This record gives sequence, structure tokens and C-alpha cells, in this order.
Amino acid sequence: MSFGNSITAGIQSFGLSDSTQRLAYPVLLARAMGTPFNYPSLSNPGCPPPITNIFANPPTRVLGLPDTFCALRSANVPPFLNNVAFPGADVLELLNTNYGPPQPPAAATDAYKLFLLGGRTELQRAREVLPTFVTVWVGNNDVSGAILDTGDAGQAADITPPATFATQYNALMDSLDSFGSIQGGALIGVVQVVGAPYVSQGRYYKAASASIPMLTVLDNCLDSLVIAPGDTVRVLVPVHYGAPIVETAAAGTPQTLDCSNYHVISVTEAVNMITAVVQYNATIQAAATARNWLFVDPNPLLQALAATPGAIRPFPAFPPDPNSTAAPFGTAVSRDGVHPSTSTQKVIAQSLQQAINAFYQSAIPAIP
Amino acid sequence: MRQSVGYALSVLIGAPAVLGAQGFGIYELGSCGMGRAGTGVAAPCGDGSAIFFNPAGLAGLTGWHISGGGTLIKAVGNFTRDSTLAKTDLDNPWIPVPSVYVAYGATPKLGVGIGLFAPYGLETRWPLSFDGRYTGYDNIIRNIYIQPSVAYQVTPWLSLGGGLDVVNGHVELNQRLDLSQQVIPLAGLPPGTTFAQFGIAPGTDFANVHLEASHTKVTGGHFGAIAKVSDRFSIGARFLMHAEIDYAGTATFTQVPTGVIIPTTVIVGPDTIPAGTPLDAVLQGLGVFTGLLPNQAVTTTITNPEQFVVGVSYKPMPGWTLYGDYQYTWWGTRFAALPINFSNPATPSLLLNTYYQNTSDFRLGAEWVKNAKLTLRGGYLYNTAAAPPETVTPLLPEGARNELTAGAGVALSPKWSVDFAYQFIKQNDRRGRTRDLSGATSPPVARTTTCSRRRRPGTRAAPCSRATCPSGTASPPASSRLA
Repeated sequence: MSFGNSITAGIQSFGLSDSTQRLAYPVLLARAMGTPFNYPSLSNPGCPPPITNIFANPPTRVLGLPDTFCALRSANVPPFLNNVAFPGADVLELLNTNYGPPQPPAAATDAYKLFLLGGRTELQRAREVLPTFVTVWVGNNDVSGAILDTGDAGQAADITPPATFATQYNALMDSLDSFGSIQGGALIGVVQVVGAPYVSQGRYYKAASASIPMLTVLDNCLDSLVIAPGDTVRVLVPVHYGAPIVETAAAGTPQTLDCSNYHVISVTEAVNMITAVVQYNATIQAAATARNWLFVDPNPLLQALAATPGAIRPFPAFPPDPNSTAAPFGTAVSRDGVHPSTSTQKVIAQSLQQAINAFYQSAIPAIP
Repeated sequence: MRQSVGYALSVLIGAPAVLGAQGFGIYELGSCGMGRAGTGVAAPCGDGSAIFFNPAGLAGLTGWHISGGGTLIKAVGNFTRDSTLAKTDLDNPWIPVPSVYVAYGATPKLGVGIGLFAPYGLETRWPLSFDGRYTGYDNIIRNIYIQPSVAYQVTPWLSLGGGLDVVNGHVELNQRLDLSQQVIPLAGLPPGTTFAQFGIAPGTDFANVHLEASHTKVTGGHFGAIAKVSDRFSIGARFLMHAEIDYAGTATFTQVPTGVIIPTTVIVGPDTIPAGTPLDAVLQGLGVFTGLLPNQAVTTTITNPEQFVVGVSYKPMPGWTLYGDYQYTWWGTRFAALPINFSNPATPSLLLNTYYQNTSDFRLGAEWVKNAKLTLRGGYLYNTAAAPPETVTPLLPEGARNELTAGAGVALSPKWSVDFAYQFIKQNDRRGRTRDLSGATSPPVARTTTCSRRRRPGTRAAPCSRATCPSGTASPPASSRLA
């Protein structure tokens, strides 16, 4: 049984369909385990169809369909689900027993609550199965809202306070304990979302300005703070803010990128996000330790990917990369700059397979 | 006049509700016969139960014989769902199965009698949390047979008997309807689009169906013969005709709250369903209960199969009698499906495919008349299963069984006697489906779908449906019963 959000559900390029769901890490892991594993298959081209070019305005999607398009669930509906993850889920939404009031503010991802879970919660759907082994990867959306916020990126209001997170996460674990059937699990930590290429460091814009005469990047985009040897926090520019500026300048209209703008994530805001994630992961690790479950921190894996040439590609890149449309953010990240690509989903599954085998002395076959 | 009282208490573990015979047959129709595993077609008990076990046995009776009794059946057991290994316990009440026989030896050669008993019937009651509730969670088939019978001793060694079968049949079925399997009653969606395709989870109850129907008719007859080869050895046979009963009754639909709140705004063609709308209100708005599932007349046909029994009895020494019977029952011919037809054309008919097989019973029994006051009995029987593995359902998770019986008859006075019997039943686990394979509760329907996009600060991925929406194991076996 897999709990989670968009990564666990299998979103790629801000789209979800059977083509991406079947490549999600829990599906690959379950296949290696040899256990039946049902996920809420969405017919192709998806709900919505994945993005083909994020830099178009609006971004183009498979078959040229709009982002409001939603293919229905496949007609062959399984009697129960093993992957109950739904995109947009934060820890609180796993805890809600229904979707009546009081509820968090409406979100575009609410449709997944209907189309994937039928108006029930992850916990409700999971309880139908009486799972014996679970993976839980939640918490990313408790902080990722700060990089995706088109109103004021990086603001503290988009981040679940660590103390609140701890309360909610522990309540979630208590709920899982109440199943009475779970014999083990793997708790996966929260990703340091400031590393997602959706938010590029200001220095890359500065570098790009050398190739775009009409683009002026102020020096405040080079602000940084060394928080540990070899670990520097820098100003971050979200794609939804930076890309139109670059596009306009490249078209010949003078543009200035001022990183004091509220759309830009300041060093202070970035540090706040990093600190929150560290505290989240301390909570998750403690929950795993208390149950003698496996804890997996995904960040070393992602840092290793970041060190791999071409795996994670900052935006904007100059000179232009011929692969910028196919893999605008690198081969490790899908075309939305946030969600893992197919190859990274496999790397995550392989990492989990190895960690589970090591922790539980199991013999799950390797994932090819 | 001799009167007897029989009392049977049955506890059946793992094979809900039906005892001693395959399918929904019941063979515990007299404590004397039950004590010797239902044997006696060649030499029925003298309590009048010969009306059922072999009407030829009425010949040669002297005076009046009146017996009354019943079997109390308590079925216990559980059903294990293959997918989750979750066990659900059967929730059956004590079920009384009455039997009354009145027989009269009019002359040394002529006997008459009338019997009332229930050779076919079942009751299964499961909790509403059970996945099999969509097939039926509280089901009753009750067939009361009234058999006026006559027998004549044609020769000193041959007796023949027979009579009419008047059957009162009663059927009740309670089941839930699963919203996920229903076709959405809106034009515009691709034909056959179900609520499941909008994400509604399998196992979302939205309606309760109560079906109840009865009918009484003369369905046929029953016949028997007994040949006394010698004072020690007899051969007997009987035949019970099939009983086809056309039931007519009512179907009552009631709404069951789903408790589901629509979590996103959905636009279906010209209609908009705002986020936060209870799904139950949506169903009412679609006219599901007024147009598709109104209360209405219902009909069904169930045929009780023929039974043919042949057997022998042998007295190896004074006081002792041994019995051996074989029974063949035409389940495969008579119970291939259970159709339920609704009068409203918009309400789809139901069809439970059973594909039963003809079955065999092998019975061995013994009786020892210790003295004028006490008779001891015992027996063993084995029967094959009527339901093939692929059609076993929680409605009737029957199977092949081994049974051991013991009983006693005590003469309280020259005119009164009482009989007891105990039966142990062993049925192996059966795997089975909890849902009807035929599925069919889906009205025609639909339009196009959309969900509105509302945005929570900090989110981006935007799924919405749009106007373009294109697109068990029946358990344990071992039981006991007292009769």
C-alpha cells in the first residue's frame, strides 16, 4: 500500500495518465515484490494530459488539449486500490475523514480526490485493503506550495509550520497503527524542494543575460548565504515568473529581473523552506524509529542526480540546449520542472528496493 | 393412535443454512430418519415420515400415526475474501424447519396420510460490512410442501405409494446496490460510462433492494415402491417430481446514504455540480430513485429439482437393521440461474448464474432396537456439491460434505414416543465470488464532464474533467447438530 502525493501517484509534466501511473515507483516496487498492486488508472491522454512544452504560453499538452481536460478512469475498475496517493495531498488531507467542511481552500488538484479516490480519503481507501506493508511519502506539498505560488513565492504562509507538521504526521501514523494489519513500512522523507529546477538560482539568469542583450539581471539575483561548507543557499526564481521575462527579452523587448520582487524566493525564504524540511524529516525519521520501520531520506539521491551532468538542468540555459523541449529541466526531471521523470521514478524504486532489503533482510529482486 | 415428537437441533459450521442435502435442499425432515443419516427408502420410519421418505411405506400401518417436530438450524461460519483475507462471520439466526405427518392405516393393505414439511429452503444472513451484500445479505427461500399421499400393498412383497405435491414458495432477497457499477443516467457521456469511471469506489452502497415474492401451486407428485424380498431384506425407491414455481411479488428500493461529498466542481454538459455537494443529492437530482429504481412488481422463477432415491434395508440379526441409500438430484437441470425481472423497463433485470451440477448422496445407516422402550440409531452420508467452484457465492456457499449422525427413540408410553438426533457436518472450505458475475444493474445513461479549476495558493497541477470527457472462501466446515 502506497500513500503519497503526485510523485507517488505518478504525475509527470503536470499530467497524469495510465502511461505515467504505470511508471511510478510504487508500481515498479510492487512488481518486483511480486504482489498484486492496483492503482486508479486514468485513461490516456490523461487528467490532464502531460505538458509537452512548458515554455509555451499557455504550456502545450499532449494532443493539444487544455489543462482542464480530464479523461475518465479506465472502464476496468479494480475492486480496491493499493496506490491511494493523490496529487496535491498534504499531510492534513490524508487525515481528513471526509470532504465536508471544514476543508482546506479549494485547489485545482481537488479533482483527483474524486477521480482517483471517489470522494474518500487515502486512509479510508487504504483501510479497505488491510495492508501489511506500506510506503508513505507525504510532506512535499507542505512546503512545495512556496515554490509554486504564483502570488508570492516563498512566503511563509505556504509552508506548514514544523510543529503543526509533527502533530499531523504523528496523527497520520496513529491512524495507520489503528489498521492493526500493518507489519512494516518505509517512511520517505520530504524533498528539499528548493533544489527543484522549477526554481532556478538567480545566477543562472545572470549568466543568461550575457547572451540576451535585452535582459538585465540585477545583482541582487546573486545574493547567497553559505550555511555549511560547500552548501550555499541562493536566490531562486520560479519558472512561472522568470520564463516570461526571458521570453520577452529574447524577443527584443527590454526586461529587467529584480530579485527583490515578491515573486522571487529570497535567501531568507529559501533558508526558511530548507529548515522546515529538515524539521519535517526529523519528525518522519522519529516516527519510523518508534515503529522500527525504515526511514529513507530522498535528498542524498537527488543530490547525486544533481551532480550528474544533464540530469538536472537549470533554467535558463545558454546557449540553448537542443534537448530543451524534450527535457527542459534535464533527464531526471519531467517537463514541469518539479516531478521526477521516468528514469528518476525507476531510480527511486531501485533505491527503495535496496533500502528495504537491507533493513528488513528481505530479498526483493532488483528492478531492471 | 401413536404420536411422536421429534426435536432436531442443528448447528452447522461453515455451510450456511442448508443441511444434509446439496444446493438448498433440506433432508432433516424427521428425527427418526435424521438419526440414521436420512436412510430408509426401503424401510421408512414408522412415524408417518414415510410420506416424504417413501410413500409406499404407508401401506401396512395400523391405526393413526401423528408426528410433529422440527429442526432448529443454526449455521455458523465465515467467508474469507481472497483479495484481503478479511473474514466475515455469518450472522444467521436460529431457523426452524417444521415437519408434521399424519398417517392412517385404513386397512391392512391401504394407508393414507398427509405431510407438511420443507424439503427445500435456505436462509443466509450476512452483516452489511460484507462484500457479498451486493449478491444478497439476507436471503430466504422457503418451500413448504404439503403432500397428501396414499399407499397400497399390491402383493405381500410389493407396496406402491404416491401423492400430490402442493408447494407454497416464498422468496426474500435483500441486497445492496453498488454505485460504482451503475451507468450514469445522463445523455452525452459515452454509452456505458459508470460512476466508477468518475472515481466512485467499488463498495459504495447507494440503495437497498428488498425483494419479496410468494406463490402456491400444485407442482406435481411423488411416488415410491418397496419390495420386501424377504423378511430381512427390502428394496425401495422413491421419486419426487420437480417443482417449478413462478414467484410474483414486490421490489422495494430505498436510498442508502453514501456519505460522499463531491470534492471538486464537476461540469457535466449543461449541468454544474458544485464542490461540496453531497453525492446523495446528486443521485436524487438525476432521478435515480424515481425514474430508474422505483418500487415495482418483480417476478422470478425457481425450480426445485427432482429427487430419485434407491436403497436397501437388511436385518442381520434380531433388533438390528442396516440401511443403504443412494440419491440423485437434478440440480444441474433445474437450477442453472436465478433470474429476477422487474416490471419497470428502466430497471435492469438481475441474473445470478448458478450453473449447478446434478448431485449424488450416499447414505449408510443403522438402527438397533434395544428393547421396547429404546431404539438407537446412527449413520454416515456423503454428498457431492451442487455449486461448481466458479459459481459459489455467499448466497449459498454449499459444497461436498461428510456427515455423521446419531439418534435415539424413546417410547414414553404405548401412545407417545420422542426421538432425538444429532448430526455432525464436515464441509471443506470453498472459494467463491462475492459478487454476481453477471453484474447487471445499470440503467442507460450521460453527457460531458468538467470540473472547475479553483486554485489554492501554491498549487499548480490542474486536473479537471471537462466537457470533452471522452472518453472468497466460504469457510469452515465442521458442525454439529442435535435432533
